[in-house]
Amino acid sequence: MKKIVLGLLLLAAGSFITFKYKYSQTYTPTIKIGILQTASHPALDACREEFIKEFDSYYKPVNPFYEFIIKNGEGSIMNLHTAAQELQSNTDIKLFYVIATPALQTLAPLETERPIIFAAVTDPSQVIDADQKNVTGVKDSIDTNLIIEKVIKTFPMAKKFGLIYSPSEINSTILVQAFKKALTSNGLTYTDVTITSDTEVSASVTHALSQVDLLLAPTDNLVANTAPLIAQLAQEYKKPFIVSDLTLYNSGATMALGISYHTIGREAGKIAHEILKENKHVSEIPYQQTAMEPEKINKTLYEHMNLQ
Amino acid sequence: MDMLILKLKSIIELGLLFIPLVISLFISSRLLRFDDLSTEGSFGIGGAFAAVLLTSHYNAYLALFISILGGMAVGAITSLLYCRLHIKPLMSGLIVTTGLFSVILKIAGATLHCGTKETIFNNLMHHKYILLLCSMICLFIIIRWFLKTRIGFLLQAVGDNPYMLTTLGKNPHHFITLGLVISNGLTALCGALFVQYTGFFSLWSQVGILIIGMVGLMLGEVFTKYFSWSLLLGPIVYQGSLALTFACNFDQTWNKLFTAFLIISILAIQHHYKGTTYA
Repeated sequence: MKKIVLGLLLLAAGSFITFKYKYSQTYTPTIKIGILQTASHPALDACREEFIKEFDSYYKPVNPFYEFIIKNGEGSIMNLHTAAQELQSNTDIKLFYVIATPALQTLAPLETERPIIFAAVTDPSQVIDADQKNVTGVKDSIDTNLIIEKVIKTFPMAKKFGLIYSPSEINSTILVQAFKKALTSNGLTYTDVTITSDTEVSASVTHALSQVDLLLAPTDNLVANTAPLIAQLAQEYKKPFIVSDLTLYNSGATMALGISYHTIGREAGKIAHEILKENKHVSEIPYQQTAMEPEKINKTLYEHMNLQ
Repeated sequence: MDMLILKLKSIIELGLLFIPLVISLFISSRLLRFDDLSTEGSFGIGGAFAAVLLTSHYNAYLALFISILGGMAVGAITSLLYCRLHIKPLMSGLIVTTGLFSVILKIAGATLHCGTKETIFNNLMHHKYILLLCSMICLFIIIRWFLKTRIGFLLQAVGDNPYMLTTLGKNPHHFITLGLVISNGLTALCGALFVQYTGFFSLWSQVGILIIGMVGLMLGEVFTKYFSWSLLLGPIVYQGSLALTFACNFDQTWNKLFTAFLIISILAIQHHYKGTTYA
């Protein structure tokens, strides 16, 4: 049996080496761009697709050789790490595009020279060193002050806010701190409605709805997954449910206001073009923030809640 | 060619990193016959302690030491649940991991960025494998020596023949506690090393650790079921096969299925040639 196993190992090693040898035989000057995506998610997929489309729109008429090498971590940090090392060791890649915070966290320490463009990261300063010069990109943080202003205008009766989020996501924790600051400066009270998994959502939300005037959620993956359930409970209790992600509007939220991940992908594509075609150095491009889209209010639910 | 060397380097480094995890699973699963699910919890605790101490600018070696102590505490709790409350091994590990999820969230938050500047790899940014190789060989020699001492020998008896311990007048529960303490301490060491290697801590990196450790252990046991040098190769081979799947560019959503088939094939080969599997 030892011989068989040794044989299999040798076969694996041999195929690995031949594959790599074959890979390095291409002589066409190709611009290679490495894309590292954290998970398959409609918002993150939108970032990737729009980036590729934007890039195509700049380069297609001129027709150079370029290709995208796309790796997806599927939500697992270990997979992301292996994928990031795989991308980083590919010396043909000129530019990296990372989507969402875990991908940036994994790739940034490994690669300090080639440009890294991030998308859909709420607060990059929390996840990379201050002196790392090769990172830029498009943030997806929402303008919390604007959101609170619009919510107060639309629902003047609300005095106690329930902030629903998952504390195991760093983006949500940062945004909730910002919400709390904005709420205290407007003289309103709030309470945390924390959820850690799908199964706890029903119990936490039912308990919270009896104590608060409305529910407010930042851009949070767990809330996004369980939004239909939360919306249904909120409708039963006749309390508004406000989300910061426009794609959740169809899940039954009373009001949705936020940013568009399609725009983020496009803006990231523009940055990539500036770096590659116009030879701008990555440290000259500051982080960008997408603008907030106009809000969507569900009129039927609004009337139904009798808040006037 | 340097692409290949870079890839090999990262495979070997990541493989060496998981050796304490494999040794830990060897002690708990093969020696004690205690299926310890608190591995994921202690990996997270080790990482959390290391991350918090590194961001507060403590010495990196002190961070490793405190992480090991944290892991040992986790092992003590698991064995307490088993020995005093007579909760089954599977359940006690599961309870500890579930509870630790909240504890880790409170200690370190969802994610913490440490950077690689203040870690034990400070002076060897491009040659981390040297430090890892030397320390893993030392760790292996220490554990091998320990298993040849009287206490180590009695530890091996716990899973194999606990009645021998009672005839000698020793309490098997003491040795289970000792075994779990050592094993979870090693897993926490692995977690702390992972945080120092990657430069950040994430609450979700502990999910799926048990499978990585078990597959590494099984690949290492291919040659012999005793505590041999081939255990060092196990995790390296597994990381190599994972890297191969990424390099071949096929759909990464199949990675977990690939892992499952790998486990099945190893166990099938063991069953065919030895008539029994070790899992």
